[in-house]
Amino acid sequence: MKKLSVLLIVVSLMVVFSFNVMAQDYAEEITIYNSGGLEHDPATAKDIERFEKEYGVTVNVVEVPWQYQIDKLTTVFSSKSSQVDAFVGSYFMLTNFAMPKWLEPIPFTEEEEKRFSPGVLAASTYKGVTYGAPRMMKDTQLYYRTDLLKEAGLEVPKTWDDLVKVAKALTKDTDGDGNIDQYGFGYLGADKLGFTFRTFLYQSGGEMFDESLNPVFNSSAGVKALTFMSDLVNKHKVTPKGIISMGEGNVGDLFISGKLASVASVPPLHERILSSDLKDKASIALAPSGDVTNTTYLDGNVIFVSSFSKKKDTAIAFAKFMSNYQSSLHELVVEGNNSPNPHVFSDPEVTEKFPEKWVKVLEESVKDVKAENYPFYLQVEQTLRQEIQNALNGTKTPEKALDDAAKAIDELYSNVLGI
Amino acid sequence: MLKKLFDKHFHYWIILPSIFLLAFVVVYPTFNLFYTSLFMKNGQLGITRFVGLQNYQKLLFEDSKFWPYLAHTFIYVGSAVTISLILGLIISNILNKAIKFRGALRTMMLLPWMIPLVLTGITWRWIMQDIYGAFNAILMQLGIIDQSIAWLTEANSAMASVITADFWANTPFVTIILLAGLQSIPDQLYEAANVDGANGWQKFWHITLPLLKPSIFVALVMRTLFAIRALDIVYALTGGGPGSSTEVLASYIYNLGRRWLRMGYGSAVGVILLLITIMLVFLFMYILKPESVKE
Repeated sequence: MKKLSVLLIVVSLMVVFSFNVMAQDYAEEITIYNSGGLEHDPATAKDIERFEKEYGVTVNVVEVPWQYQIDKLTTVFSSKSSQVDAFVGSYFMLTNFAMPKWLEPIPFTEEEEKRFSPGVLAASTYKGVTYGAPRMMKDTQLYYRTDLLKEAGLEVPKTWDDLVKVAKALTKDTDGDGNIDQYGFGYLGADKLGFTFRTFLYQSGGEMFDESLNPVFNSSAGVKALTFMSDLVNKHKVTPKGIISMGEGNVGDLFISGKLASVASVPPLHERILSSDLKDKASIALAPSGDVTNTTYLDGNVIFVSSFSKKKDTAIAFAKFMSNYQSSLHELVVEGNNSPNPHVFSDPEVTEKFPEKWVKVLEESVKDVKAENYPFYLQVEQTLRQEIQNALNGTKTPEKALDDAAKAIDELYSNVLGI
Repeated sequence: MLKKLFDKHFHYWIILPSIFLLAFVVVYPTFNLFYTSLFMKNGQLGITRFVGLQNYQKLLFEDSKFWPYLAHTFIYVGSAVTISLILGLIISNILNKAIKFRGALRTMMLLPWMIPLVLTGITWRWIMQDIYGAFNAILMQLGIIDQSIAWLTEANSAMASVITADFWANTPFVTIILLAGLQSIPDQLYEAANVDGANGWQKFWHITLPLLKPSIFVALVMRTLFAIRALDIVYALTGGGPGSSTEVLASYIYNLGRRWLRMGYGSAVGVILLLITIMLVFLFMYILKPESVKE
């Protein structure tokens, strides 16, 4: 009996001691930069609260408009400051920050890695090392008006050719004043033009860069993709000309307000649809296929940890927590953002909230996403966007625009990286 | 001994704090700008290398963006400043007269200036949109156009939109300065002109304009300084597009220095912009300053 008591005391002491050690492993607080305001990010806010409760760590959130996030973080990291421990960024930021060694690897176990779709994991990996914890994703789907398609006796487009046919039939001057009141199709423009182009490029079988970082988006596949984007606006006239200067929000507004009959857009547009008058008049489908695939470009949020952080263990725990099953589920259910973790699609919370067809489309879409990692994303994106705009407004032919963009990016890489 | 030294050079001691302050906020940053421009400095790659004047050589003779962006800057600054000056002159003359609700009108006139420029840019982006933009709707209701125009998708109309948003936001600033100038002109001069039988135009040309010259000079210089370094409206309204048709030197410096961390090259563009600004100020001084000041 005495021996048992001693053993119990020893075990109890060990448990208490190990809990203390665990608690001491984590810092009292960490600072993260969030892409945008938390009031528009309820799922993130909810998961941060959960993390704080479960780990006893206070998370100080600095809200940074996503357009300025790279600028702000670049300034912070270039001064080797430890003021940011982790940040909620985008997949495209990976090389920007991993190349100068500003990011800390996230040590996922094999089991943890299996949670994510392969395309998403690849987009979080730089030179064989995983630096990002995938939280949610924005891949392209086709959002369309079921009522208009039914009225016109049309099927949901599955290929680019179908898309043109359907869009032409749905482009209408409804009040007869000579102005088009309803366009057949729209895509994301403005700062998302590069995003849209990459989706069409991948669907044509093209790529942005080869393995030696030479630009190859001006290949015949690239020209085909940009010609298609231009034709939708200038030849078929099924996409409004002003799309060049309309971003994700503006294009979503056009769809919700009935000015577009279909749109290639990203989650969480379906969340907006569910809370609008279109709730029973709209649906989603996989993005129409090009010649080769219906792969879509992958954007979305991923958690990165700063290599200058003095609280790396806590920051890594935070990153892993924010990308676990429950967190991905919240992103999908609370905000409508697609999940990098395919297992959540069978969760009752998901099947209860979204129509069965939508869930199937989202699940299918996650399997075929792609994002290439390349340096100087912002410069590349700006050059590409400028030349895409030149092609869309007819200043240059698609071929010339892409050749000029490739030349400029080639020069950038040769001058700065010595490639 | 110390007291003697202090008393003897009292005037120097008095201005010493100001000199330190000026050195801190003007001399050091300017020197540092020029010094940095002599380096190849890439914050993203962690490279810093002395390159002498190579950045300037590259900028002036090899950079295919510099000269077009400089031309855009001149078009933007020249048009926006000229229009806001003309409008400011007209509005300030109206608001200087004894009209009804003058106080309320003066306050209302200031409203566009009170709005942050980024918001001005975003607002005008909505206004100029082809599908739901208010500008197209107004033109169509007036029967001026019968088809929506996508103002932000063509180079010229995009630049015109940027210029419009700029003078809309900044004309109140010019108006305020000119209004202050108008109020300092003695009424007796106009009364004397009335006695001599001068008409409205003659009074404006021979009394108002000459006496308003110092205020016009201040307004012109300040507006030019603000416009030449303006970034907010361009960024929020067009993002420099379509293509690069509304990129200006200020946005180029921002991209090079802040976003791409090419500090050395960005500083070289900054030095050139600074020199252009100084030359413009001297030019305005030469044209507008009264003879006594020029001497």
